[in-house]
Amino acid sequence: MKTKHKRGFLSSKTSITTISILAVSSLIVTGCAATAATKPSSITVFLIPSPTEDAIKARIPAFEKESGIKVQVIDAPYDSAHQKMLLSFQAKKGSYDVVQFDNPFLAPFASQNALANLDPYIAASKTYDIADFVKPLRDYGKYSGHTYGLDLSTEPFVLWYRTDIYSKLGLTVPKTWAQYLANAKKIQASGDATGQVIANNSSVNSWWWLQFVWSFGGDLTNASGKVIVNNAAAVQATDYMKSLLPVSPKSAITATGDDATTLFTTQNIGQMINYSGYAPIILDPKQSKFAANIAAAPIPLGKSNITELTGWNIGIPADSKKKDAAWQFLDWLLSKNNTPKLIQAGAAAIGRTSIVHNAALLKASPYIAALGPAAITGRRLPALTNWGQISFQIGTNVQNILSGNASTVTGLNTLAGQLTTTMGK
Amino acid sequence: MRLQQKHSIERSHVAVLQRIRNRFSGGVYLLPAWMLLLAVVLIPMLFSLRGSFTNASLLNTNSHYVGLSNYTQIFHDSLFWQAVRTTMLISGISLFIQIPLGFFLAVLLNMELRGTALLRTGILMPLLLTPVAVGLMWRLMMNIDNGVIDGTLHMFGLPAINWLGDRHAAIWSVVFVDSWQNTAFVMLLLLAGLQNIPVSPVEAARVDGATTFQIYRHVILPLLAPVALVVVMIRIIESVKLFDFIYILTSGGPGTATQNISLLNFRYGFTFLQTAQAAALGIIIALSLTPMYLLWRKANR
Repeated sequence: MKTKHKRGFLSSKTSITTISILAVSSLIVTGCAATAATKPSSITVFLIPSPTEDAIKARIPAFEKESGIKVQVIDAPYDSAHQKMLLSFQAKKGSYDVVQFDNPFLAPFASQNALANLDPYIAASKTYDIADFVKPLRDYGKYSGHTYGLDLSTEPFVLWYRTDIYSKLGLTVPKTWAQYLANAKKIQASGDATGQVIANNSSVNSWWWLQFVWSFGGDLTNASGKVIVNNAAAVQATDYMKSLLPVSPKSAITATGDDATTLFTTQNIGQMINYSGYAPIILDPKQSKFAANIAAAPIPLGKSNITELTGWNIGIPADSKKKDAAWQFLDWLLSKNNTPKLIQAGAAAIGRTSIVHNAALLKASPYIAALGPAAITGRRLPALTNWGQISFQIGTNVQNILSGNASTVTGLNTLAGQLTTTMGK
Repeated sequence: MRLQQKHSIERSHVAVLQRIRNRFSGGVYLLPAWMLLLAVVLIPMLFSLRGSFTNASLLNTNSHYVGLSNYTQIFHDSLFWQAVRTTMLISGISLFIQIPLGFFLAVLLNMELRGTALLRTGILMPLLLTPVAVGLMWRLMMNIDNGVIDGTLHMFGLPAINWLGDRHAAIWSVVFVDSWQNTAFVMLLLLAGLQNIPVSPVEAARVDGATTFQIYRHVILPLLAPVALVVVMIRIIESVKLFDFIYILTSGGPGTATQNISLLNFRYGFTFLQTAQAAALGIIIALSLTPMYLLWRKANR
């Protein structure tokens, strides 16, 4: 049996009306879609586990409410995060709209045009206020003269010291490296505590070594680009590191920055040179046995007047398809007015001038006072695309020297040879 | 007669068809396994091989063919030769400890003395742990400042040893931790081998007046040799691949004292970001282990 086709289901008048309504509706829908294209409904933010990540996550709901933009967070541990980012940049699929990265990766990222130039955004922003940063911090996210990363944290080397031990032994905050060593020897001789701790593990000691080399007037290369890591200043700096070993815990030879922090917060150790970024651990009574008796001060400066600067950067990948929304998020998160809220949420401090003079923050975290002078004398690690390899070569050779497997001169000559090949100089 | 011939021709046709069908259906059954092997082993290996002849790097978006340059660079790198020496040292000492100890434990368990079940459980326990957890655990215990090992030495008035910070002690620490976990594996295979040895030759030797030592020397060990060969080869391959313990315990230090070839491969890829060099070193490692694999296959036949 054939189905009979029902003719005249809609009259011609009704049809015209229906079509008109549909046409108008589709125009409205298309209009909405066009609006949605200019203002994306979501962005993807790649973060690295840290107190700063937790603080950003805590601030996201307020941003979402204010902007209507949903923020999706993806994270990966430090050891694999940057490699994941590099692979994603090479794929150019716009997987991430915002990325958090460690400063030594600024050069590798920016050199392959993987990050967006933020200068036009910064210049146009009414809320970011770049003038609130001293020059070393303004330059912290720059590569070849352009800004590719905003300062997400300012973590210079600071002197962490035990106020109770200093007071008991009548010590003062050292102004020179010689005084720092003398303090360590006095603490060690007292028999109550170990003199000091720094990180000597080959995976990280290049950071500490470079600080000492700078302090003693040396550098990786001279003005003409020749590798000079075996000159007199470097020898002095390395010998100084060696002289700290007898007044350090025995495991300091293999200690990373995390290990040094653990030693300082669990054992009786008088002083430590380490990053200010460890403050959330060092000053937390739940994690630090001596939190109430620990203070921070700027490190001794030496000949060069340089304090090594580290800290997170945050930027926008060049392949992001939602750069404006990504900037809206960054501008909101790190604006002059909102930065204190991020720090109050638990992030490592950012060395804005307004932050290091913020009375409420200084009261809650007195260590922030040490960031001001450190930022002024701050210098970041060299912006070299192959810093990973250079750092490894410094780390292994310096540890060879410290553990007595090579003399200072032999070890530094080997290092100079390796760096000359790696840096092509 | 003609009818018989016709039937015979038909039978042979059927047999041929049957053989073709069998072969074809065998191939079909194996297809999923081949696809999986292709996807997760062969294709990535071919990509690695191709990559090893380029200058591909995580720092370089445009890679091109560079011939054998990565291979020559590796052979001119002092880190490579140092890593080869370290690998051979760790492998050699590990084998020297694990094979005799594993054999001794296998013999002990094979005797089925009282408490064997408890002993077996105790010996196998480390094998059940993940290498990263084992590395972390020993790293804490070997810490010179607050580790339990140096604490115990101190209790007996013995000098502390910097297990992870001294060049020579660090090598021994890596070997010790590797042996602590993997001797049980050696024991397990040798025990299985021992239990498969027929009783008659042993009894015959005993009847002939052979001592226990002579029985082990002239009967059991020769019969156990094929299994022992497999164990040695597996352990050599595993000790060349050793990465987790070293990464966690010493990160290859102090200096580069414990950096073996697998850790160096990781450094090339993930610290230096030179993926092509890492691929080339991976190929070198695979090629250098191929004779082991071939020997292993031969022993299995």
